[in-house]
Amino acid sequence: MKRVNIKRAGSYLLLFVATIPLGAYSLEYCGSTPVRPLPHPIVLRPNGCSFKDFGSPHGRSLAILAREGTENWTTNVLPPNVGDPCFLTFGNGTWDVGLVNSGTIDGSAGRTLEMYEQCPDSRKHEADILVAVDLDFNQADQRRFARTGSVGIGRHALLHEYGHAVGLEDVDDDFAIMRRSTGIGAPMGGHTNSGSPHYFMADDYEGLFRIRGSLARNPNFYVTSQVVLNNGALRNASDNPFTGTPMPDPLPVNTGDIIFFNAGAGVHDWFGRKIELRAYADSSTECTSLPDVGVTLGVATMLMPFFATASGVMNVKIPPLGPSGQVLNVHLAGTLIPLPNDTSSEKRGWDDCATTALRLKAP
Amino acid sequence: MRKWRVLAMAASVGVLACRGEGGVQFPGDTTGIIRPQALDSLAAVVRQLNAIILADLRDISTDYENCEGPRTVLHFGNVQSLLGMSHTDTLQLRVFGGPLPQNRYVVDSKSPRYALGGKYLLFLFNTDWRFSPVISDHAYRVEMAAGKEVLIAPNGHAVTGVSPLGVETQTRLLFIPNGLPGVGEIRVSPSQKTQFVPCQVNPDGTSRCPQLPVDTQPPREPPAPVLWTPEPPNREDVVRTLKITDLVAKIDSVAQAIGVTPGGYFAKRSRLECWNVQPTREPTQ
Repeated sequence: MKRVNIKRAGSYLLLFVATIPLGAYSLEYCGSTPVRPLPHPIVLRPNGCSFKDFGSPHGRSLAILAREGTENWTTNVLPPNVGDPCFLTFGNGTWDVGLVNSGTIDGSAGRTLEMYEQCPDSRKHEADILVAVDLDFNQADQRRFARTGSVGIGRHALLHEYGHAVGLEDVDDDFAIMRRSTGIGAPMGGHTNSGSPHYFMADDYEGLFRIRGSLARNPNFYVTSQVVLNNGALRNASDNPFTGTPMPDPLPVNTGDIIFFNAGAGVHDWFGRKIELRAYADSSTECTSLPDVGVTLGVATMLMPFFATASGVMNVKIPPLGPSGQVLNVHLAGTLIPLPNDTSSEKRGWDDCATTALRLKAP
Repeated sequence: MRKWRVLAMAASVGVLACRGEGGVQFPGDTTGIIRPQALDSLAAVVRQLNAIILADLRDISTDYENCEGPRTVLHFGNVQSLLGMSHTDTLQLRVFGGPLPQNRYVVDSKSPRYALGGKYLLFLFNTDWRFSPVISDHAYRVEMAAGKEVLIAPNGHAVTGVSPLGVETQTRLLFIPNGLPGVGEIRVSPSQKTQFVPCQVNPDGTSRCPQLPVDTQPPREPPAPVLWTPEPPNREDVVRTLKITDLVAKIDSVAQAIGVTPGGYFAKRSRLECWNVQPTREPTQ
């Protein structure tokens, strides 16, 4: 065979090998492997029909996703190509992100299609993230709970679906981005020290840790809150759990009334913390963990192990609230209390606060 | 040499073609399509309700068609319509997800998983759909807990009521759901076929179905025993839970309140876009 023909045959061979579908050489068999291996790095490709740039509210939502990806996984979000057609292909090995009509995803707020090399939980070949286009993609309203239709629910849904893409599953009884997105289990807009409510939380981090086996830098403490009327029932919003109807807003209360207030906190890292939660009422909508702000409603102290979220009902007796008819916002401020053997220097740096959906009207 | 060149080019083009299959439109009859609307409230669910059925999950199989894609086929028997349209005694629901011909496996993050042999209360769409004829995760497994009939949602919690946002499941975790957060602990069966066990028939003609310990879309095994498992339900856990008739009555009340009569259209198969093409949108805001 002539040398030139060998060269040509080699070129054809290379061309052929290059067109073999991705992943064909990297099968991982089902069986005893207790993790879901992921590509490294993950490359997410925003559909240019849905995302024009990173500056719009939708594009900023992508930037959040990229930030969380960078924190927890090597995730590269490619710049959108505005020349993209208005569809994306599932099954081509590319991890796509797109906005769709909710009718395209059976009415849900978001949906992630995942493809594995073999059976579920084997190596992930591809994940396409689809989020309803009509959601609100602005930053969430301060630190309130996100619910269907609220500001920021689009960013929340996008991050939730990204969680699915990297292997997290829905949860219902923890404070987490992966909290189920339907009904009363609407994802919540808890808060970390950064000022943005769109973060993975303790339960998410624990899941990521189990998948990845290591954690990048992440905020380590957050506070959140929910409102209940009967002890033990968890409420995301100011709905009356007995009737399902919204409670009056603001809620008229009398001095000495008892209200139940479900408060929660989470620790994102390996170090256990003692946390003091102070519920207080204040005319300002801004929440702060500084002491002596507003009228204290109640204080609870809890000891948190690593990677934990905890919630409990604070039984609050309404104190005098000032001028009659005054409307006060209820906040929940958290302060880390150093343990005797805790020598880290970050204690005050991560103190956090959450604004609830509850407003009180002074008698 | 020209022959080899043509053959090599043809092989390459052929491989590329295999990677880019699919089209935007569904190739079958798409007349009169009704697209689902956003499920952002309980009223939105009730408006799109064809029926609430109670049925036994007797078998699970898988299927694949080019446009419909991988499907997990749920074979229900003893079907009773408790609200809305009447359905036949047996019903097959084709839920998105399952094995692909090229040995890959597709999963949809939002579809509930089902336990073979379970009795289910299902909310069915009165619109067309792409992923499941069951509305969102409204697939409740009927279980006995602390001596009481309870409805277990796919999340492992029991139904306690309804609110404007949806069906509430405000109990602690009573049964292990379809996988735990973190998923690292979920083990996969070495043999997929072992989970596709059809029901047997008892001598008296009644069905005898294997009871899987977890809600599952096959093939999965329960989480490894080193992990946390819920305490068995006690009486306190089920004080506020609803029975089948309670939930159906509440949904009926909602329907009456918003002037809707459940029923009408039912699509047995997906008629919307093919599985591998997702039409995207440009945001308007």
